[in-house]
Amino acid sequence: MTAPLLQVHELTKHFPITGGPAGIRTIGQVRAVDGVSFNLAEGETLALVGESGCGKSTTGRMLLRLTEPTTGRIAFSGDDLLSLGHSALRRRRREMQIVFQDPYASLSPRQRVEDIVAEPLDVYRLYASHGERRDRVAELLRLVGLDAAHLRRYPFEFSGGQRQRIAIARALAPGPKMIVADEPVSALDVSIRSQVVNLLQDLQERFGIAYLFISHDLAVVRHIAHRIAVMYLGRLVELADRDALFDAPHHPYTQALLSAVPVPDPERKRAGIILRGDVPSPARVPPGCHFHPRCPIAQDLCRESVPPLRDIGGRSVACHFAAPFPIATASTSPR
Amino acid sequence: MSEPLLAVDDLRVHLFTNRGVVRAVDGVGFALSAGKSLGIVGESGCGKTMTALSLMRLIPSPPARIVSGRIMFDGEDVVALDEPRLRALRGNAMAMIYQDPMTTLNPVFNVGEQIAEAVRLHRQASRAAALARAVEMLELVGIPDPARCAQSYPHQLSGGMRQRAVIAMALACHPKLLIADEPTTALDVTIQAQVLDLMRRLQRELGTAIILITHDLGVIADLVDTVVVMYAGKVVERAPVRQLFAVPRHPYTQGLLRSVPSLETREHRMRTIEGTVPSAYAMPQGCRFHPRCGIARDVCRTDEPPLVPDGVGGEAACWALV
Ligand SMILES: Nc1ncnc2c1ncn2[C@@H]1O[C@H](COP(=O)(O)OP(=O)(O)OP(=O)(O)O)[C@@H](O)[C@H]1O
Ligand SMILES: Nc1ncnc2c1ncn2[C@@H]1O[C@H](COP(=O)(O)OP(=O)(O)OP(=O)(O)O)[C@@H](O)[C@H]1O
Ligand SMILES: [Mg+2]
Ligand SMILES: [Mg+2]
Repeated sequence: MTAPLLQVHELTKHFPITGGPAGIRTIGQVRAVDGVSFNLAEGETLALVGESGCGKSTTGRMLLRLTEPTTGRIAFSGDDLLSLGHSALRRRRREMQIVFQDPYASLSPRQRVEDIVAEPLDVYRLYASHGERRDRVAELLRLVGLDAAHLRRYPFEFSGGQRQRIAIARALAPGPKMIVADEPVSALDVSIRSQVVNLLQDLQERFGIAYLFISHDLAVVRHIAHRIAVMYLGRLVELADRDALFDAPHHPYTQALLSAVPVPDPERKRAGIILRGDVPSPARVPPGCHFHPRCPIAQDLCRESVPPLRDIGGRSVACHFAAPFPIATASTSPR
Repeated sequence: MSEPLLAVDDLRVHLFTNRGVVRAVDGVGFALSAGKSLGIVGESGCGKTMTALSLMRLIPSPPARIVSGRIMFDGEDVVALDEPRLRALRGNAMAMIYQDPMTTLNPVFNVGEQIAEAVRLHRQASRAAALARAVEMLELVGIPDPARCAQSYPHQLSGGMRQRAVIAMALACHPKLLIADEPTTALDVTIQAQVLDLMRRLQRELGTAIILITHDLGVIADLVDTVVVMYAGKVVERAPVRQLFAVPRHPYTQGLLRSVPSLETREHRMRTIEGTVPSAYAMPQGCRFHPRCGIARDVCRTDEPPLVPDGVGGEAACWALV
């Protein structure tokens, strides 16, 4: 077996909280990411899901070293990414691209679409002539469903969804092996979202691109992901093959998450498990299992000891009392 | 029957660019009563944000201009109001949650100060009281550790936290009409459920009317009473929510509903509506949807279909229904 494209080991990111009279003393830590490990194979899609603020974007940014990890190891194509110098990292980055969560902030307002999409081509000199540059950009725009007539326009002339497609075209430009896609389709309407998801899948089939696909749209995740990692307050709580996860979520948080998906049917009101209890903060993480203050099946053990990510029938779950869905639903009343 | 809180009639917003005129909103009309909610759906670029912005006269001008139409809000025509009166209205009687949280948040001030500022703009309150109110609002929208969030600068917050901060700001002054442009797209489903719950409560307890713009038909089904479907600057269908989901009449609405992925269906490809929204500079003749429509006939290529009432409270613009 060949080594996976990407190996992430015990990755953490702690942001200092500053305060004090001058506002410069460190008075605490935001434990945004708190010991996350996973692999990503070539041509694979791993989805990263979880509550807002649980550390998904921070994890994604660390893979490209856009945010420097506090501790941990990242191996990409065999290289130890965290020990690479500036120029070696720059070369490696051609193979790793990111589509940012916010399609507004990520596109420079003063650049024309042509120059935005061509930016990675410029950085790595991926064309021989000006004509070739333009052709490549036009081709990329066509790939994401935009008209080549848009080349000379500025981002503000586009709607939110159109801007996100420009960002995707830019990420595809240098022919990456891996794309960190941070909510790449949440700004898109259903039909275009489907088109973009199909497109991402086609590109994967053709070029073997691996995706770390960050999303809270579980229907899209169910469609595109091979495996799914569920994150809660800086840690992975469950990692499983797609069908295994959707068919029988084992972690109580995964169960709550899956049951909260709104259904497009006004006759069927949401019958989800609404999580109660203190909303967690990575600046004040609870002892033991991070999820215990909101967990419907928490016991004393959960308040004291951190459940390790352990293997249960081919999946990884971090819960002392992990059990498939039906058993846990019997006791979903809030404590 | 009482007057609706908001009545939009034949609204046209055009963008005058050096490449030509973009008819971003082209004859849109709808009404909304106090305490009710209306959803606007439609493909990216169809003019939802422009419609919402014009309700508060916040369209980017130039290049955009309201070229015709009336927007009656609480007895006044917003289109005819002067700047001072508009300023008094915005954020007070009408508040907007923008699609892009960063247009609302100022990067150089912390979030708490900004919400407090919004509070003080519209009511007498001491600085400290306004700040306390800001923290309260942040807690209400489900932000963990609201005190830390209040002291954070926008870049220190996650995408979903920023979005909730913007929601908190809009709700801080109890508006009569809340316009929410994609308020939950950056939120995960559990937080989304909380925010929708909060909006429902505002609607019920304070009688706030809500206009909700979203791509997420699940959210529409969950929250709104009436749905307006837009395509390329026009209303193609309007119907009570149950009816729209049960018997969508316009082929575009039918396509939209078919493209919704569900957790239950397993198909190799996600369903889409073939083709893309026409270029804003080159709108097709006749029905704007005809190049993508499976049932288009000759008349569709030449004449625009009118909105025709369906007899059970909705209306749709399709020659097949005339
Ligand atoms: N400053 C501008 N100059 C030219 N065209 C513009 C400008 N701003 C918006 N448009 C165009 O106006 C149309 C309507 O845009 P609007 O932002 O209302 O779309 P939307 O329905 O909100 O889309 P989305 O769902 O992607 O946010 C789009 O075709 C867009 O390209
Ligand atoms: N530069 C920073 N300084 C301080 N704290 C930060 C910084 N960036 C992120 N954080 C904190 O780290 C935590 C995780 O943020 P992150 O953006 O990774 O969340 P996320 O899972 O992507 O959430 P969302 O779904 O809302 O985008 C949050 O509590 C956030 O406030
Ligand atoms: Mg994020
Ligand atoms: Mg919009």
